[in-house]
Amino acid sequence: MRAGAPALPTVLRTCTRTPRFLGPLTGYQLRAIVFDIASPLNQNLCLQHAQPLSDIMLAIVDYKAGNLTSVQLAFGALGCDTTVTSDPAKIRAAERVVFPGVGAAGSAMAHLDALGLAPALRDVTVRGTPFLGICLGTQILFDASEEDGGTVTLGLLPGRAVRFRPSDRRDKVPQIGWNQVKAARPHPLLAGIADESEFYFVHSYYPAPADPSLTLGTTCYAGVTFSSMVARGNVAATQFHPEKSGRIGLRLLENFLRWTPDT
Amino acid sequence: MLTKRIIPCLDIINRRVTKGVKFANNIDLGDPVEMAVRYSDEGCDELVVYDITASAEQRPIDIGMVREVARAIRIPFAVGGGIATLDDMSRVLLAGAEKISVNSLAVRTPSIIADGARAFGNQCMVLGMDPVATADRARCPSGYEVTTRGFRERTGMDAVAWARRAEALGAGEIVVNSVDADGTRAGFELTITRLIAEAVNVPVVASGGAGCAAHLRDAFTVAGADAAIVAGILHTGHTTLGQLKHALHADGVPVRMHW
Repeated sequence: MRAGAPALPTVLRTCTRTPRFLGPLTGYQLRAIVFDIASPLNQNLCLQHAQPLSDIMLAIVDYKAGNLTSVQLAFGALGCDTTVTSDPAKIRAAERVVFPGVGAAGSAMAHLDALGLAPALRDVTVRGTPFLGICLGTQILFDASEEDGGTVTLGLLPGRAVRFRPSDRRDKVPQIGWNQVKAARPHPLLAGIADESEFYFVHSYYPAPADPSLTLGTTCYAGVTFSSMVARGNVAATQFHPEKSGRIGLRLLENFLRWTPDT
Repeated sequence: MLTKRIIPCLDIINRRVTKGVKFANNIDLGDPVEMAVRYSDEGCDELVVYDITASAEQRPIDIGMVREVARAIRIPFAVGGGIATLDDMSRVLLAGAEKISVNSLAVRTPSIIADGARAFGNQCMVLGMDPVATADRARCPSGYEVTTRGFRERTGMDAVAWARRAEALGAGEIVVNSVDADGTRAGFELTITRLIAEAVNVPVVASGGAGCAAHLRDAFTVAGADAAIVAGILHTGHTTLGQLKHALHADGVPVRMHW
């Protein structure tokens, strides 16, 4: 630190690296941050931002449900090192948890059971760890799925996953491609993202929450308006793939890394 | 509303993007990673990367290049050429590709579609096919015959029947690359594209012949394609993704306008 600069508040002093989002700081900028932190309104925001993304312990849950490379690469592009793990202890120890997944609900649940992961997922969601479900990971957070002749799933959110039943043959199943997400309410995960932005989808089933207040965003396809994004407390989940949704998807993932859920 | 996808295709020889008409007169167009980044920045919805000489040279696909493309862009891309086994597919997907495209291999060994779909999911398995118009309606009732090996070999297989069979085996998407239209810039072959789009329940991608936005519009609205591949007109700077998308948007075709 240069001579004459004001003393850093504790939270910034404990950082070993310059926070990326700040870049090189001048003494005046530092003073501004000190004043910001003094304001109770901004305190949460500043404390949250003071942790560099590279220092976040982020666990990506690996339960043999598809390829996790894109998820890792996307968080890597944000400067965040990830731990891809099937170890319940590492999931419990993580500061943030991402629960992706591609494939079928039946085999996904079988793998979760075999790996003994369901209790760890329940623990972190109950404990308040910021948690992001993606695609199949989102569907199996609910009570049940129509897939594979009916599958009992994790039951961490009320509702079920149901299959598209298009009446128009031109609506193909799975839905593959970019579709709009309309925000149902404001949320920190949607910060800086224009309403009705397109995200990349690949799916045949969609979440149908039992509690409509879970819905954070909706999307229209095959004659239905479905919940393409849900959130409650520390649990947020997308039916689309933010990791494959270009710059806008990356912004959503960055929002997740900076998110302090209300408790 | 689900938007129609525009998919630039990068044909690769020795880690360079090339373009030739019907695999002849290839010219060097640039670095695949740089071009992937540029098209992604310009708003393409997906990319296809074909290692076009891997099969002929009987060598595996260039995984290093796939990894570099995956690291550089945050949108889905498919990889084709030089994929012969489930192990090859696994390597390509673990390198960060979203989809595998099989063509001649699937004609020789159709079970590879089912094996790939079982191992990685239908959404990973793209069937590419190269149909050509034929007068032999006895063998090919649709009037289109499947060719392989860069259009060099006729198979005697009806294109529509092959599309249906590939879907039943687990193909999650079908690319219809017209031999007759390829490289002409005179428009997609709408007849066969439409026949296949009506015959299957998975997305169909029109390929070969893109010359202007109106050609894409026709592929989407007349032939019912879900996506369209463009190559030459972008690579040579004849048009841009932005120009194509604005023209389609003005025509009422749903396309992704913000990225």
